Amino acid sequence: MKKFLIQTVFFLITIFLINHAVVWWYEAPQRKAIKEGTHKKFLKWNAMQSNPDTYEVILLGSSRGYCAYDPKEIDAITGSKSFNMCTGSQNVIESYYYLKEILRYQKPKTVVYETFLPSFSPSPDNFNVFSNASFMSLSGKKEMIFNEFKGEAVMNILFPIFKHKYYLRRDLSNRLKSGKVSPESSNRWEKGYFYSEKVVSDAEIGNFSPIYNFDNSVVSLENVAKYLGLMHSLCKENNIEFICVRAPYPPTRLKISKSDTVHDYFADFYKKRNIPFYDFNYSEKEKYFDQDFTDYHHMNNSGDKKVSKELAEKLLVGK
Amino acid sequence: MLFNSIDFAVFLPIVFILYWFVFNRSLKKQNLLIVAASYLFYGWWDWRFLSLILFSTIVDYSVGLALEKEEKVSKRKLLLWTSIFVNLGFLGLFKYGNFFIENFVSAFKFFGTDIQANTLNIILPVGISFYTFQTLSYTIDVYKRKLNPTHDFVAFSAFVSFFPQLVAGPIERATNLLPQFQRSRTFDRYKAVDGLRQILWGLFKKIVIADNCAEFANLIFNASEDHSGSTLVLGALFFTFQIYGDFSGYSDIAIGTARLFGFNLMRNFAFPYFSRDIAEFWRRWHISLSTWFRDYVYIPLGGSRGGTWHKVRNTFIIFIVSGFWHGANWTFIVWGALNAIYFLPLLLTKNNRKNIEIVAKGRYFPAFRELILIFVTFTLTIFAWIFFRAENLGHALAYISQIFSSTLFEIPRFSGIPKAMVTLLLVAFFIFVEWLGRDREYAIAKLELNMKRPLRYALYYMLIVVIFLFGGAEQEFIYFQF
Repeated sequence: MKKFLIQTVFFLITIFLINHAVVWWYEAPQRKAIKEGTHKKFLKWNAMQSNPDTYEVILLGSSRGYCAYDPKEIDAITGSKSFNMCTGSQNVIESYYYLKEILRYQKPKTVVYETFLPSFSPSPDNFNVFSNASFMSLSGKKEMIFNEFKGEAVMNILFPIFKHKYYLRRDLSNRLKSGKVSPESSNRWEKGYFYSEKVVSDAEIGNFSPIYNFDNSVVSLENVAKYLGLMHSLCKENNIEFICVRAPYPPTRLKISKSDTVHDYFADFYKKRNIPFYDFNYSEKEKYFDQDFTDYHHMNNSGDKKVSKELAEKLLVGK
Repeated sequence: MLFNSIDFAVFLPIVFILYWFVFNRSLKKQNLLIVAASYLFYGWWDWRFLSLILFSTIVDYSVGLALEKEEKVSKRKLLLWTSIFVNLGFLGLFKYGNFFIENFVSAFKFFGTDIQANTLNIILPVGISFYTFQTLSYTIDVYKRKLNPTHDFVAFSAFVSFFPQLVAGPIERATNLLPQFQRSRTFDRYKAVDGLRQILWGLFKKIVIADNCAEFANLIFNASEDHSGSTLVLGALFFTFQIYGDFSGYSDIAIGTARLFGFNLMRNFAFPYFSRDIAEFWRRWHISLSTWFRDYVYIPLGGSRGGTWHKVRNTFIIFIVSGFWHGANWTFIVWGALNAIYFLPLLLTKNNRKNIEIVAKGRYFPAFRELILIFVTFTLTIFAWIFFRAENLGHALAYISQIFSSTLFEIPRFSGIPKAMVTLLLVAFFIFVEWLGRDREYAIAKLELNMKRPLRYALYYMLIVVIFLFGGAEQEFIYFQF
């Protein structure tokens, strides 16, 4: 028995150490980027914390949001100061806690939420959760982790490699394909918005599949009601206008999707709660093309000019 | 509590330490700990349904004692039927109640009479089909005088509720498991290490194979009308590996966990996808259920004795009942019937016991003929799984007709193809390891014999890293719903 226990404990300690060693190596570029002040999440949170009471419009949501809405374009039309706080794979649970955290530093007049179905997944992306949490205030971080991610936090301490699994996998396959990790820094970040000139290739368009819908996504409708409700209430309490939007998809994807149940569901959901909702996929003013995208659902600088203008006009109407 | 959850990762070492270090001096106390741990394990999901397990335990324990004293055949039969009625009654109410109500209403409607009936607003208790069958095996064996009834209520409770196999089997026979609760257990390091190894392999099957395949099986099955025939074939293939990884993975974790506590559970899977015919497949798939039906339904019905009609009847009964055991849906019944149709030619031509040994035993590669037979059996199995996975019969038939459309030869198209390719590579690795270890109880069982410690440990670390890096999104075990 003694030998078995020693062997097992030794084995587990080795696993623990290997985990931390791999993560230490893998996170080295991130630590360097934070040190040099170039880390994208660091920049976003730093903008919130070091410029108090500056931003009047805050955008929240996933990467589709940070690729679509350009604060510079919006500000040029509305004359306000906006900032894009959308982050990669931002789950609606995170959005609620990020909003709470942002309100510690900012007094926005409007909060814009980008509606993206996978953001309502019952299992948020742990890497992004803990990465963002590391830039939040201690109490904000504690509140979010203790309320929502206790188990994940234990897992993060014991086996930190787990939260990186999607990224390690992606980087590994990139390395196998091209021999090096594709550089992300060739594009630029401006007020939380991701500027990219890349245009989706014809081959990629040929491989497009239908857009996310309730059949092909795991969604917690409980989270939809709970966290959108909490965000709405928080905005009301702070006298903030809460607006929900939906960035366009490449038209080819919309065409091959038999129906858009997500639009119908959220249009109805927001209407019942008197929350303004603008789905730019059904815009009458602007026409979007596949070439307005960098890939299957992120917009490039050509597309985001149009959608930012549309959003700015809606914000003006709100004013 | 799920085996692949943090809760279980905390629960298991605590119970293990209490079992071997605190309660190790008394068998009764060890059994009591197992009962308490098992009730906690089950109650973690929904404590209200513990009353069902307790009630079943009390009824079957009492019936066992009464059968011991009773000599009159009629009274013994009455006692047996009491146990059957209570156990199958629970199962009928919770699992099949709404199915029968809905089908009665539909049948009346078909004959022109509209009747109103409210369906029951109840949820299905996890694992009810498993533990009711396990307790039934006890009363039936006592009735048949194959087993002496136990007078130890704690041991019997532990047998009924033993947490490693409580919610998804293997469905143990009282003759195998109950005596293990009645004799003292000593710690065996080799057995425990073997248990941990089997748990590791089970986790790989569940987290890497089943959970990754589930993502694409769900994606394709849930929107089958949007996909080409070739994509639907791929969807069925993903489900084929999802269900195997999921269920056999669970069984491996259950068997491995039981070993840590000094118990030997029966084998539940024996590399079924390497079968050369359907009869062999059914000797290798969900062995504990197949043999349960064989021993307690098929043989009492007369088995393969009697004329052709008897054989056909019994085969259909056994497969349809087995299908229905999986769930209250016509899809499971058709799945069972389809397997009966596959099986019958073998039975009638007396070829059903031709392939007993594992394929290519003692060789690295199968013969060409064996390869063809494996391929044909595997294809038939995939086809049957479509019914098993479909939402209803209409969905299954639409899925199949879409497969056999002109789009069958198109290049498969669905979201996440690169990830699906990685999943297929992982499946290929999995098949390779399973092939190498097919002559053992589980695929990596012979690592202990064949490899030196450093290499063995390196492989364990590699498996763990693969589980961490390539694990799919957490999914509940499919067989929990049964």
